[in-house]
Amino acid sequence: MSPAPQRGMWIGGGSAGRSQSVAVDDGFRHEAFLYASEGDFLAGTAAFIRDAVAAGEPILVAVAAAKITALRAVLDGDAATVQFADVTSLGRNPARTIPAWRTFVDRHRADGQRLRGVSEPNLAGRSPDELVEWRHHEALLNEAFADTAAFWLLCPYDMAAVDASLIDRAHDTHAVIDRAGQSRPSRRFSGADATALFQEPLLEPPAGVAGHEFGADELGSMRRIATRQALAAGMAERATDVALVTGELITNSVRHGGGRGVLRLWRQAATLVCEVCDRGHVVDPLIGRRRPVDGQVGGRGLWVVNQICDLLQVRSSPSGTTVRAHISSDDGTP
Amino acid sequence: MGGQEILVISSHREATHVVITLVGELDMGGTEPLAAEVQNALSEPTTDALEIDMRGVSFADSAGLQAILAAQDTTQLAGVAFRLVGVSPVVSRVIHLAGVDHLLLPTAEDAGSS
Repeated sequence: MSPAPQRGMWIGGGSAGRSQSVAVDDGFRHEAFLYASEGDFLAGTAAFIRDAVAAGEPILVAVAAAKITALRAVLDGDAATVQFADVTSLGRNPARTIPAWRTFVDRHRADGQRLRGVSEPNLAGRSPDELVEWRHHEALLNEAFADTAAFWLLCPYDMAAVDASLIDRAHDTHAVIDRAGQSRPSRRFSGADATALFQEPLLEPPAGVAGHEFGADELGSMRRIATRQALAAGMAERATDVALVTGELITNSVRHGGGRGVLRLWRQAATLVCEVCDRGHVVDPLIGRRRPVDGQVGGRGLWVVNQICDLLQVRSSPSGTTVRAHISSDDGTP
Repeated sequence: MGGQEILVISSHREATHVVITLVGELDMGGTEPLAAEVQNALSEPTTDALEIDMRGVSFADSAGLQAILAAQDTTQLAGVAFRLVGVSPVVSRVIHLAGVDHLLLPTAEDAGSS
């Protein structure tokens, strides 16, 4: 059992073998844990959790349900004070995970405690767009918690299951890489990654997709178009969601994006994609990932969209903004 | 102004009690007309209660809810009692998703089975 962590020190040792070779830091430590086997995962993660429990540090563990079961079995009595969340549902739309971490941090930060988390990337069976967005999510975590003191977030990546390019990308978004029992600062890490990714273009929409130009007067008719597309796609049970999402995106364009824009809708595998482009410039890459506060006028649109859709892609630069909401035909249970 | 054709707003006064009835889809187009209707109701100094009846609202988005919140604020600032009635499940869901349930639903009365 490793000693309780001290202020100003990154914890080393423990059965995970995390070394103390990394710099002393008291801020947000975003660490990728690259593991080679289920046994490695359990040993490394359980040691990380036990260290937190021993030190009285609140810890939230967001991993797949099967891993929760396995960790509970390994941790036994040590699991009593650990909060668990199933990342398969929590991270279905990656944009819903930062607010969950924010809630955890805000709940405990008042006590002045050090905090820990385990955040497994929700990558199994996800589409290419979803994989890209998870990388954005990892970069946005750095942005969201840049000013949070003493919060150590460990992201376990399965080297056997996760595509090598994604493992490679993890070096860009995590300040520390933990591999084969060694923690090292990532040489490629840049805390400013989120802003750069925010300007990365999306793939072109499929050829032949109609673009519907709209202004303030077309809000109702655009919702009607969206509803009809949802029905045509056999998604009657999500037609209201599609109309609501479309309306929210269009309202944003009308109010903040120059008053006009273009709506496109298309099928992509089992999802309906609703895209709105306008000439506005969104500067906050965390838009839609901050829980609205009371008294806030506006700014709830993308928050609402994120609670409904299964994936949201936002890209913005001085030349314009593109927002794509993916709405799945199923009800969200994997 | 886009919502004007798809939202119908009417008022009915009984002594000091005003009921504003909304029928149709409540989006950003409803913001100005609803604010005007509320101002009109409050401009009569004897008004002591204002009710917004949403039974006929088939759709609402976050901008529409913002219009309701603004109506509630204006009314309460004027010292007039505010009540929301007829919140359907479809509207209630958006109220929850937008995270304004604790602001709007305390003054709301159930729409019943509708």
